[in-house]
Amino acid sequence: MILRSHQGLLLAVVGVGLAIAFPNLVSDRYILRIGEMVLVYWIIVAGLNLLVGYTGLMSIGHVGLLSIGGYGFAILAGKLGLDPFVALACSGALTAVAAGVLCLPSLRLPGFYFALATIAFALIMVELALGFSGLTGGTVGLSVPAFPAPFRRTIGEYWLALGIAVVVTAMTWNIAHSMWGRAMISVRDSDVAAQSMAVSIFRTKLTVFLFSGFCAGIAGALFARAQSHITPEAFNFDLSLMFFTAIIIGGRGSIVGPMLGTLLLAVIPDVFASMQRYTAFFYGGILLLVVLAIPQGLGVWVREHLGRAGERGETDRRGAEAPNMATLSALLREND
Amino acid sequence: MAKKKGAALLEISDLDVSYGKAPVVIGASLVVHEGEFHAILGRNGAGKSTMLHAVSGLIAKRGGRVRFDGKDITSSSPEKIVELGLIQVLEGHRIFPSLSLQDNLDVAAYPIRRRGKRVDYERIYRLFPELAAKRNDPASSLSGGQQQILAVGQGILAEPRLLILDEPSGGLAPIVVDRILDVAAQLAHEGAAIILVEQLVEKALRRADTACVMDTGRIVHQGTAEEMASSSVVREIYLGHG
Amino acid sequence: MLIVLISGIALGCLYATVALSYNVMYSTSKVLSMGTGQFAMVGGIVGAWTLGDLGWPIWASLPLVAAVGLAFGWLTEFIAIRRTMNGSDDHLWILSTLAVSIIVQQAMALWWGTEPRPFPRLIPQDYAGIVDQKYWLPIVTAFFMAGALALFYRKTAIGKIFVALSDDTFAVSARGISAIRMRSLSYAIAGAIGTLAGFVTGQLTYAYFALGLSLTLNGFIALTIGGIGSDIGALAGGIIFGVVTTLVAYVFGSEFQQTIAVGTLVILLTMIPSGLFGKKRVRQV
Repeated sequence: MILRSHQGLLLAVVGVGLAIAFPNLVSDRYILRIGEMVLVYWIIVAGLNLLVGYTGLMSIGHVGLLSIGGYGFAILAGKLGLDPFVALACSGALTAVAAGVLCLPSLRLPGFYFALATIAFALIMVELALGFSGLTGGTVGLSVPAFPAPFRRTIGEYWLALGIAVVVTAMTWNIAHSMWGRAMISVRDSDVAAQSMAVSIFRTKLTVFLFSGFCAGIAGALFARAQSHITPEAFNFDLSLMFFTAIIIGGRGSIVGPMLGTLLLAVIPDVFASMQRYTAFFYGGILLLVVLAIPQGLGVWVREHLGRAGERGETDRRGAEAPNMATLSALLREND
Repeated sequence: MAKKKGAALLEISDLDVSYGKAPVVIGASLVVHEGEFHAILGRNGAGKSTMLHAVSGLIAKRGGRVRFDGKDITSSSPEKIVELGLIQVLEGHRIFPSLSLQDNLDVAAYPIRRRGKRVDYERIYRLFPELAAKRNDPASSLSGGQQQILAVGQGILAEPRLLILDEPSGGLAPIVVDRILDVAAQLAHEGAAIILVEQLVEKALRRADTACVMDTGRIVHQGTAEEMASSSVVREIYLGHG
Repeated sequence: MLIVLISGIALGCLYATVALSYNVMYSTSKVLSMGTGQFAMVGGIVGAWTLGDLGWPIWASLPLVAAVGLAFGWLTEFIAIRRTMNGSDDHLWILSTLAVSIIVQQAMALWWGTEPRPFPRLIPQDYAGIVDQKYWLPIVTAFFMAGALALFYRKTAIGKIFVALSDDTFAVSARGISAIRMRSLSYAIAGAIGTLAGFVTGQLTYAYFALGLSLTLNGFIALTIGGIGSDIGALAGGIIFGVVTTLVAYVFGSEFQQTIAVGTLVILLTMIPSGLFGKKRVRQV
């Protein structure tokens, strides 16, 4: 365990170091902008990752929350003239509340219902953004005010996003490693088993939803600012697919995996500019490939295969050694 | 009961089955001959059903071999195994409640019809007249005993050379159990082999030619039914079970 | 007003047919495919392409659309279901069917374009108001499909096996029937039902690549209102849902159609959790 956390720390230091060095390594503002978007995406993916990876709930329509954060920020900071940082915090809180509402049906609905409910939620958000045009500007959209110095311009926004991303990552890391993490894994593995462990499922789920919503709201605000002008079209479903696919590629329950997944999915379409049209097709293909070939995700796959060469005791993180439900139910049937 | 045995029909050797990493059946070996009525005894969770599910190809085997009528069926599909005449009636009268009684038989007859053979439904209704009156009733309206009889009827309809009955007695009236076991004994008399898993040890041993006892995944004892009836192993297991 | 009602019923019948398609797959696999709505989308586009662009007659186009549906359904099972059913992860099929759904949708967008394109008239006829083909075709088709399925389940050996599979898959396997082959077949049938529904409703919905996802959602809502597993429920649920959303859009404007649709569902589900014709509360899916 000690060795592991040292490894983790090392990895974190290297990662943050690279992220800090990044603006000095690139001169092109366009590439810097891509770096900023990766960080913004990671902020929402980190929250979603807790939700998907640690509770097994498939929120496919997370872009709906992103749009609440984005519009919230644009309206609060732009129309109402709030201080951008206050507006940032408020849009995070607002989105957390929305996520809390989304949490309610998830308590009673089985997986597929919930997944579809989140898609519906994303579609509804687009509809509302178009419908309440007095507030949102409808198809014309809203312009998004800038942050004050030193967070002006792309480079400033990059630093802001980096700071928030580091904090969010540290928080997910902490939650994942605390009791909460363990409780959430048991929610994913079996509602019943968790119940018998006297874990309050509702509180666990609600906390994850609120945290995930807050991350989505902050990411939405930063996303909106990075676009400088938002329309409902900016929050299209492809984004949702990307967030989700990044997690599946990286491996549910891992943190480094989805982070690399986000990097990969956000960067590739930009690197091959001619591929833009194929972006969603590409996400779908990758998702299918990963689900069929390595359903546990690349991150976990790598950890399992490298871990075998190294030491054992890798299993606590993801609960891979948690009681196998198939075994249990089969044995129960035999004993029936 | 000493009856002359036919050729070996089912040969299980060193069968291992596990759920995940938990071994459930360990090194089981068993031979059942044509015309033989074999009873498998053992307490709940001993691995009896699991072993038979594996034999029928319904769940994966971890190791060992299974031969039926001289052919290796270790990795055959359940369809192939049923086609060869190894038919299993699952525990707990698992009929299809959404279908009528006759439609339940239709489903069971599908593999035979698919091979272009005629299906003798009337034979089932002759064996179990109580079913004939309820032909068009929904299977869900049958009593537990009737459902079990239907399940056995489905098995017999499939023209078994070896019929496996997994706890046909489960929660049924003694008279129904006797009917089912008598029909099974009659089939054995006509040349089919029978494997019966049963908790009602006395009823089972009265009709069986041979028997074995399973405990925690292993076949711990085998012999003729007479030997078993007086065996201390059997007594121990069932008394231990309470 | 009458035209609003009739178009609501027609649209509702499209939802109903998608719900039927869900039911067929659900019977053999207990899976609700994320790609169910894509069948109809593909049916609409292949129809518009062959009839419009290629100028085929309907008797050539219709079988092709059905064949494409069979193939698409079969492939869905082969790619997205077969390999994810035995895994220990219950939810893998949500991801695999979603992936297939997205791939097909995007492939259509790339090939057909992202703009809705009109669907040619199936029967040479001037627009006939409320008795126009674009309204009665989907309605007749939905009822025909539901009737055909009822006969199929009741009268044919395969249909009975589908029902048996929905009761107890393991027991069907033990009877020497390949549950996998039956599942493939059910997906192929569901695919054909879906593409044909898209074909006959094309004049109403246009041939549009993004139709599939909303049909996956709306078909599911129809299914939930009616009760999963019930074909009569699917018809009733589809029509109720289609009429309600269309009327609401007519009265309050169409901006909030999806919002109201989902709102309706939430209210209905709180009142009758297992749907109008549902047998029992649906277990974990």
